[in-house]
Amino acid sequence: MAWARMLLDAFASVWMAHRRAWLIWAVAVTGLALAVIAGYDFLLRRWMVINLADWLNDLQGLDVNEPLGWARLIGFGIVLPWAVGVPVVYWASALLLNGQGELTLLLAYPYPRWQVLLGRWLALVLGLMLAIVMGSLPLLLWVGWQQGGWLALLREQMLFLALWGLSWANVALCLGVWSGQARLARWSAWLGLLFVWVGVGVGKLFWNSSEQLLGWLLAGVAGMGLVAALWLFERRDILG
Amino acid sequence: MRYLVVRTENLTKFFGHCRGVEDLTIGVEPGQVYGVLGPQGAGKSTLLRLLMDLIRPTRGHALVLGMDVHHQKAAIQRRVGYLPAEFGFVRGGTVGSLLHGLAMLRGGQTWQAAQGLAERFNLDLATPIATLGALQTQKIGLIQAFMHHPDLVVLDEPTRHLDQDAQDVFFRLVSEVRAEGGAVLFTSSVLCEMERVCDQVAVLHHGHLLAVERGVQLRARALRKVEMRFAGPVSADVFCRLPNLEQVRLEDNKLRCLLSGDPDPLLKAASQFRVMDILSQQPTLEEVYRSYYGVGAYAA
Repeated sequence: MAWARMLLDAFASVWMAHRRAWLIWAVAVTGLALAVIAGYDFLLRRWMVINLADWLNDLQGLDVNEPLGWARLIGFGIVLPWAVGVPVVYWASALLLNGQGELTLLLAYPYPRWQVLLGRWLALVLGLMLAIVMGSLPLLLWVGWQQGGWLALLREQMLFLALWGLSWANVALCLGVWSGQARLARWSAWLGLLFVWVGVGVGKLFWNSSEQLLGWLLAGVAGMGLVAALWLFERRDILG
Repeated sequence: MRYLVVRTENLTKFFGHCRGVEDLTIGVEPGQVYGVLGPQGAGKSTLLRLLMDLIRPTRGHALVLGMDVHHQKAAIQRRVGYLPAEFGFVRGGTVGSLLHGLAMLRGGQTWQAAQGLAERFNLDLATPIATLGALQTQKIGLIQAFMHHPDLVVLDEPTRHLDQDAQDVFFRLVSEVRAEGGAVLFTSSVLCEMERVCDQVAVLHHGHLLAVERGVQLRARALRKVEMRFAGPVSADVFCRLPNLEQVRLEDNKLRCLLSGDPDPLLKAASQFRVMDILSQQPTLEEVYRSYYGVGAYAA
């Protein structure tokens, strides 16, 4: 009961604090989705796009000439880890490291620290995911209209890429809490997200296109990263 | 061992090489208003954060309501109200929705109590959080600290940002908590606040406990800077003889001195002359430290 009350308050508080940010993010993702749709006819024949698509095809085994492949590779294949990872690390590190004003009050309430933080982290991530899915709706509808089978957009490597963003964000968060430096968290997040395709390539090399295994591995890193960040926060001095 | 609401023994906290507090041993009795006096950097907030387990001690230990502050944190926090020195609200909504959310976390009849306190502090529950000033933020902080009728209220600089009306409400609340058998521990860098309500005051200096004063003693020797202007020349000897005057200076027809405690002898001595004007001021913390303890408040 107490945990539910705490979680409810976390959702209410995080929603009220971040509702504009989520809306902006959803609009940004919508903009991206519309750009991907608009770019299908214009950019498909350009040599740079073809080269990029060929290179990505090697990694992903998708046909970029089809709307589904186009949407997965050029659309969210490139941007999804960023769309997930960057806000998570920015918002969560602000919550854990900079935005301690309200947290100082709440940590004096009769709940374990990890519950207070996990409630807020969950609310942040769920809100973000909702914003991304809502923002992607135009692209999903376009793929469905052009080719059918739009649900495939939400599966397989899309999940893998979202997990990459999340796992790297949590590892970066961990570094931030450990060092007490939000800047370190943000820089390591940017760096990790920049090399997402290296991760994909290495994954392919070692696990021979076993994305499921890689997905589990990333999910494990994401989970462990979050647990470690909460564990470190439990031991951290809250200076207010 | 006698039950104390707060008991610390050799409580020490270092931030790297920087000393927060060192070897602090204090005890707060049930029904007592306990003040912690000191300038910025004396270790007041560090002491309170240690008691609330927001930071962990380098050595020593602390008991609150007879329980270990780290291992029985949740049990303590149910019965303690806390106001941090620095806090803010990142959420949107109104003061009412914020207080309702905080009351929900406390459970019980807390929301009704919060509404009552908001009325006493003259705080409009419909005010949007985004428009809150320092005064209203501090009022919210105080309301959430008192709303669940805690056995112990721990307040870090509670009167900061408060206007006179809000201060009066705050001091009445403190008296009510004491009357109901609860204890209040609060920090301040203003001596007259301590003189007004405290039963006991710990004086901190650079993280060390300089003295523990009883409230009655403080009130008995309340320090005031007094300036008197006379119609004509006056003799300095009349005033220098008085035992509770220090730093007596006579310039033209003006007397400046530091008065501790009872003003009656000074007024009787001054009545020999025609007094044109009297000005009485609170001394600075620096003057209090130098006068009482022989050290500068900010001196290393």
